[in-house]
Amino acid sequence: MKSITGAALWLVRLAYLAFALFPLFWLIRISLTPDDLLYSEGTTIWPSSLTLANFAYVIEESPFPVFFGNTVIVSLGTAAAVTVLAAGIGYAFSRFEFAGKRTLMVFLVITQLFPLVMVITPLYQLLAPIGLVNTRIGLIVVFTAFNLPFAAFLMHSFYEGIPRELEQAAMIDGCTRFQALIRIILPLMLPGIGATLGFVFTAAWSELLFSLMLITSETKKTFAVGLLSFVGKSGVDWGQMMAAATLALIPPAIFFTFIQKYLVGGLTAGAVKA
Amino acid sequence: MAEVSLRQVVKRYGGFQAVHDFDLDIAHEEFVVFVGPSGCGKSTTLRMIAGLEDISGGEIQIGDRVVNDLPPRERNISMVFQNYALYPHMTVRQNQGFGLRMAGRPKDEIEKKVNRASGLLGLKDFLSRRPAALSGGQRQRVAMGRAIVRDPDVFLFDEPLSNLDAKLRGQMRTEIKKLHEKVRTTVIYVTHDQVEAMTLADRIVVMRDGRIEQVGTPDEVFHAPASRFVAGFIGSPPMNLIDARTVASDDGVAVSVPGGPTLPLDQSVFDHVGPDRPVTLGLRPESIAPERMAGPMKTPFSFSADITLVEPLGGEALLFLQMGQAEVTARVFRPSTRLVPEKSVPFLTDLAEMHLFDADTGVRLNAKTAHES
Ligand SMILES: Nc1ncnc2c1ncn2[C@@H]1O[C@H](COP(=O)(O)OP(=O)(O)OP(=O)(O)O)[C@@H](O)[C@H]1O
Ligand SMILES: [Mg+2]
Repeated sequence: MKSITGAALWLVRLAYLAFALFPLFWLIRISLTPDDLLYSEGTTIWPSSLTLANFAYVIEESPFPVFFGNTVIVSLGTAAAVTVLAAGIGYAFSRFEFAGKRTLMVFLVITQLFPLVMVITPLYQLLAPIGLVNTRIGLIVVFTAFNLPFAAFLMHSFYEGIPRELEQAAMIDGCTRFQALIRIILPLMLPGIGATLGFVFTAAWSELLFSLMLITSETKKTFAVGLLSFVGKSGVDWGQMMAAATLALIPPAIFFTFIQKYLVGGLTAGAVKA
Repeated sequence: MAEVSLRQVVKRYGGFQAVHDFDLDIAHEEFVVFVGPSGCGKSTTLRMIAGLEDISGGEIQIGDRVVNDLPPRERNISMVFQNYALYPHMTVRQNQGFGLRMAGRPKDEIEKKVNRASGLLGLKDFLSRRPAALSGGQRQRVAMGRAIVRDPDVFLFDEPLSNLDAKLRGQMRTEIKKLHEKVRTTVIYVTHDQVEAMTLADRIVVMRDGRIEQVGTPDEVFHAPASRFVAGFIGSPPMNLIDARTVASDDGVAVSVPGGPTLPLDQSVFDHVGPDRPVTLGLRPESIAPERMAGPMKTPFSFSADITLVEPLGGEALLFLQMGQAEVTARVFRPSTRLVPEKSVPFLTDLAEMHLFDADTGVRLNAKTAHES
């Protein structure tokens, strides 16, 4: 009985893995397929020959390296700004009672309910007079604004997981509230900070809608917008597009490798009796 | 030197008053235990002393300073929390030394003090472990070590043992007592376990619904409970509290248990209690025994009752008997013969250890007690 359940579980896991990884596999497969084989061979699992031509083109001839640079700047900037702000907001929500706290939290949830398309025009009119349209800073500001509510909630829930007694013990041990935050709470918040950074970085990295509307000059485009340039009048250059997309996966992958050790929970284990 | 005094201390949470006019003076090096049922305001009071909770009214003094507006770090106290609250990212050594480090003490002094506390608590072998790698009992010790190391004026404990299993709890109770002998400091200890209160305290503060019900030595609260509530709370098994009525008798006033015996009242103790008054009669299980195995009693009174149930506990036995309409527990030490349920057994109780409470207010009616005389 036990082994049957075990086997079934593994089957489910494998199925899920296949489901999750197949698009990735297909992406890479197409990016490595020579153009002339793409249609002539039809849909096969693996092409009869491979090429790096698509990658070479994307890296050496297309404007993609610039798009990448822009995306890295915007994503890192957004992730940093959101995380710092959310750390403060989450802490305040978790540890302080103040007038209008509930209302404010509900309000933050409500902002998440509106489809973003609705605000594009007003946003444009808001940003244009202060010179933030068509700038990377402008994108960072907008992404920060839109990611902050969720990030603040995420941080809040991580703070809630840290027993209040820890900072109270620290304050009895001679810390000010701020010292307790820096010396006791922050080290324990690393998983939360990692999760928030990761979440916001990924969201900013693949953002398309606002980048498309707010950026017009070629030198400031992000890669998501840039991908659209492979859709030409004469059709879509799938090979190059997939090569660019494959390259675009690398920074988030590196980023997550970097923060993954903080994402693993259990850092507060042993603080209190379970 | 650190006396602690609380003057008319009040705590309000919005419209709810958690602590009412709390008045208490705690002497230097005294071990005071706050005890009471869940929600009676023990932790709240302790946390106000610690400075973790604002005071809604009154005044708290530690040593010769009014600390009402001082933050916790300036009160020179340490606290052991129910869940220990160890810093998970620090080793046992760092946890204990944290307070001294914050105070900017030199490294070798910290080292020395941490070593001393670890020695006292048997933590030497765990100094470089993190809390996650410790058992519950070891974590508890680290929490105490962290409190000791700082040499505070006052130790505050909030149910430090309630997360341990029964055996370990007993062990740690003894250790805390020994520790207080070695590290003489004023201690305020919160528990809802009356055994802890009785064994540890110099003085017990019994609380109920945010008010002090009685302050006294363990002896006083046990032998002269100020109210029916204290009588029922302190002692295990609890005191038998029997609804009864005073009646006039040949030599003054007696207490009549409905359907059961009528016990004469010692007029030198109860001269202010008139007849025909509803009262609660209080008899400790220890002061009731079958006549054939009763120990010496000051003022024995004999009555007959049915034993309905026997719970042998090895060295002692609990008897459940029917005294009129009331079910009463008797506790017999080293029963000389096997006890079984039986009808009309002659029993003795000691009138000198009888307690009487007003039926309505629950206030104690004994003017003086056998214990005091
Ligand atoms: N932050 C708060 N807001 C509102 N009421 C509170 C708050 N903290 C405590 N109380 C109330 O104050 C009363 C006293 O609480 P307290 O924690 O002091 O009880 P306690 O005697 O320590 O009980 P326990 O043995 O369960 O720990 C309780 O009725 C509790 O519900
Ligand atoms: Mg409590």
